[in-house]
Amino acid sequence: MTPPKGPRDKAASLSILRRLRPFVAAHATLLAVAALTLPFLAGAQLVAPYLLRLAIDRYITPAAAGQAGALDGLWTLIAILLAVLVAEVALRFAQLYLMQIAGQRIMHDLRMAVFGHVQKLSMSYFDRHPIGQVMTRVTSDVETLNELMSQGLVAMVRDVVTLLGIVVVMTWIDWRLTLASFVVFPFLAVILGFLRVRLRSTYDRSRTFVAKMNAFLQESITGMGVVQAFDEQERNVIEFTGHRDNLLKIDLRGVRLSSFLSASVQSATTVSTALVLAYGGFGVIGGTVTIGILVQFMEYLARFYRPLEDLSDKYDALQRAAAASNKIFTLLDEEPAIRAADDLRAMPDFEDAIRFEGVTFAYDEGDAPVLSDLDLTLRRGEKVALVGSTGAGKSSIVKVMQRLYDHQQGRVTIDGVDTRDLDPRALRRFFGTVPQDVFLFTDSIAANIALDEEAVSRETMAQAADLVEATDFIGTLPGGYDARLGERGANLSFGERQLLAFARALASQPQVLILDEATSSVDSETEARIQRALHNLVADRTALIIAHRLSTIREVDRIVVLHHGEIREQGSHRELMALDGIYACLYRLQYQQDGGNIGAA
Amino acid sequence: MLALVLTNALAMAIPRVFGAAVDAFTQGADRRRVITFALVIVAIAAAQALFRVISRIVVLGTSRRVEYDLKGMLHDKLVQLAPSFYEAFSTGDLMSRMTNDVMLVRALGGPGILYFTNAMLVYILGTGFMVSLSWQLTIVVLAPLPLMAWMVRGTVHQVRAFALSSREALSDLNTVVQENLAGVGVVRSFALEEAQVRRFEERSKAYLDWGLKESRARAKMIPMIGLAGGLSYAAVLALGGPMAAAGAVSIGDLVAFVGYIGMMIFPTVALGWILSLLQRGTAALERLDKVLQAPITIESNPDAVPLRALRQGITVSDYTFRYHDALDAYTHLQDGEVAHERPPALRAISLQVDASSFVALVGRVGSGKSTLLKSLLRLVEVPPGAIAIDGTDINEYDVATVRRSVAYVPQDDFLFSDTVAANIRFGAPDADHAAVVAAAILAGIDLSSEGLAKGLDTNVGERGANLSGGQRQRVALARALLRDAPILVLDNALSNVDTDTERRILAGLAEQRSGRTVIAASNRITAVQDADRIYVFDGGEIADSGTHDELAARPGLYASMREQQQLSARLEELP
Repeated sequence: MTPPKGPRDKAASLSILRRLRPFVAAHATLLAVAALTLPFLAGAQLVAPYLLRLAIDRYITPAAAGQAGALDGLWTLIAILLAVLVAEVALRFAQLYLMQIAGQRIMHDLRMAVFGHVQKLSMSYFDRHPIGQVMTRVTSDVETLNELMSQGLVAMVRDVVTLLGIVVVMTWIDWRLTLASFVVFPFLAVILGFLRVRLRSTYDRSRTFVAKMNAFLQESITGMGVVQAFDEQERNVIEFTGHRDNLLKIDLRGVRLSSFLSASVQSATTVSTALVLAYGGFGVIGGTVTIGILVQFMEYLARFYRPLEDLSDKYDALQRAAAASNKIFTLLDEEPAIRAADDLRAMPDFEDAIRFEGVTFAYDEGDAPVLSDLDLTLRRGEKVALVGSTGAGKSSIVKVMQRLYDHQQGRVTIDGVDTRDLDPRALRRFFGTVPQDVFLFTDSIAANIALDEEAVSRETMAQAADLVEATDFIGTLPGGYDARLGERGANLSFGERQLLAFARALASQPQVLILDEATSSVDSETEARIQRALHNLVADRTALIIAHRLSTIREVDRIVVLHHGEIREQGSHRELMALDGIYACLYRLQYQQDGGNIGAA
Repeated sequence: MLALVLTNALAMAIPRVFGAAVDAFTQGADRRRVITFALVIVAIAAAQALFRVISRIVVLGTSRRVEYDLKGMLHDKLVQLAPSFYEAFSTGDLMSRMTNDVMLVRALGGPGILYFTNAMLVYILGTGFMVSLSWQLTIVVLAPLPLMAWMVRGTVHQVRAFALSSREALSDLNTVVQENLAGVGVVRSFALEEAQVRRFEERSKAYLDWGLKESRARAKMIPMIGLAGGLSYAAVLALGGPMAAAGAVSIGDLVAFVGYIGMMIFPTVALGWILSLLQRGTAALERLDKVLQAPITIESNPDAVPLRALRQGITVSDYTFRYHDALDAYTHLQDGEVAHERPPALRAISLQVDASSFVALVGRVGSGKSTLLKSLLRLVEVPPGAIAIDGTDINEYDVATVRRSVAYVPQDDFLFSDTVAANIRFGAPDADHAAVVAAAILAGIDLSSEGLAKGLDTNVGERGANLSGGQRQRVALARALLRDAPILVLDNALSNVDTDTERRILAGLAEQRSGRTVIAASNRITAVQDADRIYVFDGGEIADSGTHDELAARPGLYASMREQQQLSARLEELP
């Protein structure tokens, strides 16, 4: 994980800037206005010392020399100084605020782009990438980039404009004195160059050590149970100390280098002041330089060297921002595995059937298929149960049907139209799903049933809740439909969450219901409630049920038995029991399990 | 600190020298005096650079050392805290304390102290130098400062309020992202992408709005400080001009004053920044203190005795355990989060494990087997009187010796991102290669195939991600076997290994058992049928016990589990 160095580093930075351009361009006007203030601000910085010089040379020196009335013009000058001051304050406020507006709006746009892109990514992406990692991209990486925008870039532009302004004005006043004051600059440049290279590699190494240390720490914390069970705390401490030692060593080096850097800049300022004083002093004696000019130069020098001092901090911030944006753009470059076809066909009315025709599907290309050469028909109005042991392919059928994953061979059609010619999102809205684990959002009950409150009216939502008899418990909650749920519905019981999931599937008014029954064992009262709701749910609808409960199986028109990704048996409960094959075996197994649970309760 | 004082004193002397030089010039000095003044300044510069380097290295270096010590202290505490602590505090939370909060404390201790001391020294020394020139001018120069401080204070309050709202908005935004990702299945299958983007946009806008309010307040602060500096300039000219005309001050004095104002502006700006460092740093310290204050719930008594061998056996009597009770110890350290009341994991359990016997625990997931096994290593807080080893309460023994007497294969087969060999050697770092290979073979690790590209030197990846579930479990088993402890505890240790392999491994283990006591929990009947005694767990209670033949013969949970598993096995074997 060593960071790239040298030219590659530069190329990477350039490509990041190129990628950022469209985001920046969207706020070009705002940025241009903010940039417009920069020359004025630099000007204001230059004017104050100039006015100081005028005050000393024109008014105060003669006055001190006893010239009567010499001070008369001083008041006008002070007035001008105050005016410049007020203008500078206003401009600086405008510049800071405008830059922040632009910067934060760019970040908002970037966040939207990243989040919007994440919404396009397929399920397979999330199988491979942990949530925490994706989360970091959307939130903290964007924040880090904000630093680059608001501090790094703006400050650099401002500093460069000011530095140039100072040199130009100084040269214009007295080029020889300017030369004298910058005699030390080449030396400083060499020292800075020397230190900067070392500081860079120090910072890079420090970042690598920090990453290693944090990885170790993360692992220690998650594996602390094992560490303690094996009584290896001591070794863990020794290893962590090793990480700390490495980091401390490199960080102390960084401190030394940055101290030298800071001292060099300060010395350069002081020595330059001495040179101005010496050379300027000869000038004063010779009458070519005034005291005012000396003061003016002294002021300029202080303003010239200060920005150089925190150079290394700026570099560090830039590097971190570059690393963050690299990660963001890698995410943005991720192609969604499932994409809508170029010429989409209209969603069929569903008058006939959904058909799987020779479908073969594996989660990863090259893996053993979980569905192989599968044919399955689900007719309109039919209720079909899928049964089979774990890993038989039941959930995969559902996922392929909704095109959450793409199959490798065969076709899935609705009324003869290939699902790959349909808009994936319209296809998914065609189905209403009750998953095994109910996921609830930290929001109101109503929002959790309707999900998309723009698409589902309040009445539809309430009707759905009513149909599955969820209204009883919703009524008992403070605020009813507007009651807010805790994180993941923590304040609801299992049965209540099931009912919400049923209502949610209904509220989207789907053509086909997909039900993945929960396997959790519940008390008989809850079970009865769920079964009643389930009965209402599937009545007069087309439904595909991944069945785990015997009672549900009795309600369906047809049972499809899956084994190792293939359909092995099909028919009614009676027919399949008579066959005495896989279904009969599964049935007895199920019976055992339920019997066991009842025995346990 | 002395270096810091000296570097500042020297810096503050420069305007004074400059002023003196200017006065000398106006009074017509010769070239030699000019050179002398310049040399004085250069000499000051040299000394100043030296002291600056020293002071920065000392102060900033100390802050790094403080960070080093703080992390060490925290880590020392972390390794001592009981596993229940890690249930109460999430890994993410602890990581954030160990990284972000420690960093904030370092920032307070290093740059915070450095710039604060700097600012104070500049004020004190600057005021001293200025007063020595002219007290009237000093008053005018410093007059805008209280005004500025007052204005900045108001803004700081505003900034803090907005920053707080902004943090809250950010946390709302993060919740949306978190739920969107955790519920990605729901989002995709209900085609909620657009609704989610709208929801996200709403929150992102709110965050933007608060952020901009905060920025505006902040943007006001910096120019205000500049304004104060400017006012000081104007004041020096307005008062200093007439004073110079009256001969009360020299032009050189005025020049020196101008220099001092320039030097005071930056520290003043820095003060605002230090203020926020102070706030954030103390908040971070508080969060770190909570970790340091957390009670260590499992440790050896002062008069603990070592456990050397198991002679008679382990007796569990009337043992009831609630995870909730253990978590209660930490509630005062957490903000609002209260652990959920859960039913007891164990209810009045009593059982006996004779030395050198093979005892099995069976039962469904969540029936309390793991809790009992963890209790044997004191990985949970065992109440006094519940467990006795060789007749002595488990709490009377030295914890380390208890754990060293037990070789443990946990249910969660946690591996470290290192090689297979290093993971096996985890509990016995000094074991030689032959011993590692022997343990690996005994645990059923097939070193030639199984996708272990480099055999024992294959890196297992983060949490063993490069290995299959079955491989991970076997590595965890080998790790325990290499410990060569008198008691072997297996917690569902081979659940991801196929039944045949499991049988083979268990047979091998039985052969090499040589007097070891084995306590194994399993969901699989086939794994435990050779046990001397089997305890059937159900809902935290022991439902039945006996040998395999006894239990299989009578109706009950054991028999029904067995029948069920036989059915499953038959299903699996179907072509």
